[in-house]
Amino acid sequence: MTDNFLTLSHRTTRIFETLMGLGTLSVGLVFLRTVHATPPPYGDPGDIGSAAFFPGLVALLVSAIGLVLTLMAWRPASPAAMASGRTARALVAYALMVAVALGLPWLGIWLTAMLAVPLMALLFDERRWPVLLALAVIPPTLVIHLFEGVMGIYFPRGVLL
Amino acid sequence: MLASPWTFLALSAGLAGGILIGALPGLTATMAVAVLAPFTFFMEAVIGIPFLLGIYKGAIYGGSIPAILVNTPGTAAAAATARDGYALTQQGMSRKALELSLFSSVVADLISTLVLIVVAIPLASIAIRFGSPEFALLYLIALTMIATVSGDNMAKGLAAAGLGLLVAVIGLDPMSGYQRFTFGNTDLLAGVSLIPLLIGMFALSEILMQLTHPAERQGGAEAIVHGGERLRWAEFWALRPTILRSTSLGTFLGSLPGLGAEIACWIAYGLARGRSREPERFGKGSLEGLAAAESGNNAVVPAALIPMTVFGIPGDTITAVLIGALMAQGMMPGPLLIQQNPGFLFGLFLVLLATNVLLLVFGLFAIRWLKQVTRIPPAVLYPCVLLLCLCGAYAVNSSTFDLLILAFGGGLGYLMRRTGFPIAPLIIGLLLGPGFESALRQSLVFSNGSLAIFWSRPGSLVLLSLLALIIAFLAWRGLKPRGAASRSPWSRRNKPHNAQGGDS
Repeated sequence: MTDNFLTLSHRTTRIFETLMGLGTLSVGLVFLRTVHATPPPYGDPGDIGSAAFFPGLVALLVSAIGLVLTLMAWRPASPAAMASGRTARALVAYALMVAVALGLPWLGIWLTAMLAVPLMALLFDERRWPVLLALAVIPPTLVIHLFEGVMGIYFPRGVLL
Repeated sequence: MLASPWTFLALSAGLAGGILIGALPGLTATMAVAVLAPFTFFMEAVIGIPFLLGIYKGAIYGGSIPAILVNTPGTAAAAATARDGYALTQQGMSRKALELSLFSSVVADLISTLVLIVVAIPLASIAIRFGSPEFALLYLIALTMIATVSGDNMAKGLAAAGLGLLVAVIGLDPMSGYQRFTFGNTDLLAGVSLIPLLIGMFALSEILMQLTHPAERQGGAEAIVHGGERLRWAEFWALRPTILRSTSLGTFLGSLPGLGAEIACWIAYGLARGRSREPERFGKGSLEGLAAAESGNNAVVPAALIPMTVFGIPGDTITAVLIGALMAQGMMPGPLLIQQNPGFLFGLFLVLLATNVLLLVFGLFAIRWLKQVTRIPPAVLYPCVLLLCLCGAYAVNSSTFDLLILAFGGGLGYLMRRTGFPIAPLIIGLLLGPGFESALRQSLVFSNGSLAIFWSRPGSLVLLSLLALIIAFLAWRGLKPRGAASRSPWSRRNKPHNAQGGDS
């Protein structure tokens, strides 16, 4: 049995469910607070003609559902246990994705792509250097030329190259 | 449309690419359409949209190939196919299973396309008479259905739909032109970019899910004895009641917002088992089971285009992406599409029919050659997908801000999938948000704030009654004991870990 069939404990699942409920509630409250700020930035939320009416209504509903989700996490019947897995590795990959999104304007498409593709392969347990080297060169060359040469989309070159 | 060789070429390329992508375990049809949608922005609509339709149809069919050969569904829609398909492969009848899967898919797709053609125009002539109250109620029905059927937890579905509506209010107010929730950021004036968000939520989150739960390959391609006897005409002909029943079911479910191919395949499978004279053979290599699963999921594809073309409401997440692609081409799906671009729509119908013939031809090639595709290791596949996501998201507006939306979408999609929040309601809430807001506010402005406008017109009264019925049904379903739901033949416990409601 691999780790993808393992589940988190009910206590941990309950904490995650609570956090998701509170997160939903917070998003609703942030929108509600913005709409009801003084002076109201988008008009009177109670006026059906104003730009604040619909966001105010939806934010109220989302806050209510967030509250329901939070309360549901603490029902006597345990929530269905969440599957565990290699979360740390996924978070490292996500950090790489964010770094790529933030770094592309500075590093340029070539450097970003030639670093991101083999690094992602490393996270998928690829350890053979020839394969990593091929991944650093072949997919970026093909994809960037496809976009730039065929579709006429030019990517940032960055400040380093 | 079909007279243009470029359209034909784009359709063929899309179909071939779709079959290839669908055959790669872990790459879903939604992900394929989302990642490749930016390519179509630089094509004419008569070339780009057929390309995406080809990918959609090809990927749904292609998912059955690894399901039959290596017991790993290429897409969630092929999960039911694996049960009897792989059992047939183990018995040395992979060729028969693959041929039956192809022929069932083509027949189901053809029948469902004909239903689309017959139904779309009369329904659109009714929809064109709808006013703001009817559209407001229609959007509400769609959102309620999508939120409640696309996940195990109704509250999570509703929360996701609500969050989608909140994301939709970012940008300019559709009625007054006020800037809302932009906080001075000019990149948000036109709202949150749809395609980068979609790519992030479906493709990046899939990469993260694959890292979290590496797919367990159940038997390598090298272990397969590929071949065996061919499907005989008499065998196929004997399956016609099963195929017709599953096709009807798939067409009906596909035309409802929120129910995608990944659910239809299980319901069709369960129904076929219930009506079979040999139910004990299901799961052990039943031709009936395989034909039911494949015709059930493929019938959904054209049927999901009914709410899209008639009302502008996406039937599932893939049609949500298609709507995004149509909007990027300056077209507004819905009754106005039929009124303003009838030539385009009828051309699209012809394209759908032509796809059936091409699917048959390409499918026969795929049966012979595509088993090699299942050998591509994830370490090569997913880094390439990441690169395509990055370039595709940037290409939409040539904006680095879209890369941040991509990353945000990836994180949000991953978080939602790990915690059991369905993604489909959020995306469809985001798409329907502006239309729903305009329709609701216009209705209330016309009636001076009176809610009576929602039951004082015959059309709105019918839709309101329908909404009440749906809510009553959902409440009744929620009160039923849990055990009854888990005995359902399409229990979501049977789905692969990475499948979410509405994500085929």
